[in-house]
Amino acid sequence: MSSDYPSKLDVFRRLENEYDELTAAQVNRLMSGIVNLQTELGTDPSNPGAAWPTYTNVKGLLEDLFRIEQGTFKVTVPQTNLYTNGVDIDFASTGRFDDADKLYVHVAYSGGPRVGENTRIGTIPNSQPSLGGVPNANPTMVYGDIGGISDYVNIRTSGSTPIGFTYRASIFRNTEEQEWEFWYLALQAP
Amino acid sequence: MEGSTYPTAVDAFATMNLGTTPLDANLVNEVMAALTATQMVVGANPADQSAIYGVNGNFADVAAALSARMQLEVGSFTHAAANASESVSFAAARFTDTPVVFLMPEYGSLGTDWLYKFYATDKTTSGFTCRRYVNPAYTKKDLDVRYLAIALP
Repeated sequence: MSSDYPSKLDVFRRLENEYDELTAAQVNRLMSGIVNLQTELGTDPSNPGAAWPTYTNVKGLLEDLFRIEQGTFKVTVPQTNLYTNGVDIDFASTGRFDDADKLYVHVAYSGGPRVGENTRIGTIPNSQPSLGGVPNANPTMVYGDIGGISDYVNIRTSGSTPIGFTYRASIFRNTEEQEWEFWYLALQAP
Repeated sequence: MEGSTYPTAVDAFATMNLGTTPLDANLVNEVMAALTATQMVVGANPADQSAIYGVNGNFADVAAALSARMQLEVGSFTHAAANASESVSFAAARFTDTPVVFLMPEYGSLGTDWLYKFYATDKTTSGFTCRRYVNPAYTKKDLDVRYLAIALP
């Protein structure tokens, strides 16, 4: 009898020296289980290729692969003809990110008390979108009282460790003070 | 010892010596325990992620599944002033499918052309073209840009 893995986990019966006679079939099944396990993992699963870093084991690869955080923050935007003040946001997690060169932060408008006519806001809403590269489309555009906005992110570090980011929006023709909520995604690539 | 120490610690098996080490039930039980513990940690059918990724998610093995999930890259470049397009090559050959590309400018290098049009197009597995519209009324400067390229399984 060979191993059932990977379709399902193998079930073994505990052997007793006084009552069970060891057989080649029992050892063969164990070897089959180990071979099936290695086959399912694939060869060198912790090193996906020359384009990626080298990892000691799969655990190290997984830790490097899923360094991601999302959150929200609010910005009070005054009545102004041109507003470019930045707001510093700290990451909620400590130690999750360790390489600023591989960290990407994206910010998108997620809600606010005043959304009316003629506002264009969102991540680079006054541009053609980066998402999908579809020309002449503004998928993040919503409407309010603002003439136009372009936004920017500077990643803040302590040494070489990312600790947060500064979000800065250039907003044109804001007719009155408003508070907007933003969503952010921070993702560190392997 | 018949139990497995995995996954807390990797199992340490005694070296078997032909003719002197007894092949008994205790030894086989120990190997069975280690194998069972390893299988439980890995899980059944770990390479079949079709429940999440559909028909493209049933990978040949875990190594292939991890490679598919590793297709993302973060990089930065400086976009030249004015209306020129910029060709950006990915630093590493990570993509087997054309990735989605996100762009985020960094404020520090911004000139007075603060309202701009900026987007990626002509994407391939090896890079993309970045285009930028600058209002002719404003001073044109180079712009530092960070990108995220990601291809999902």
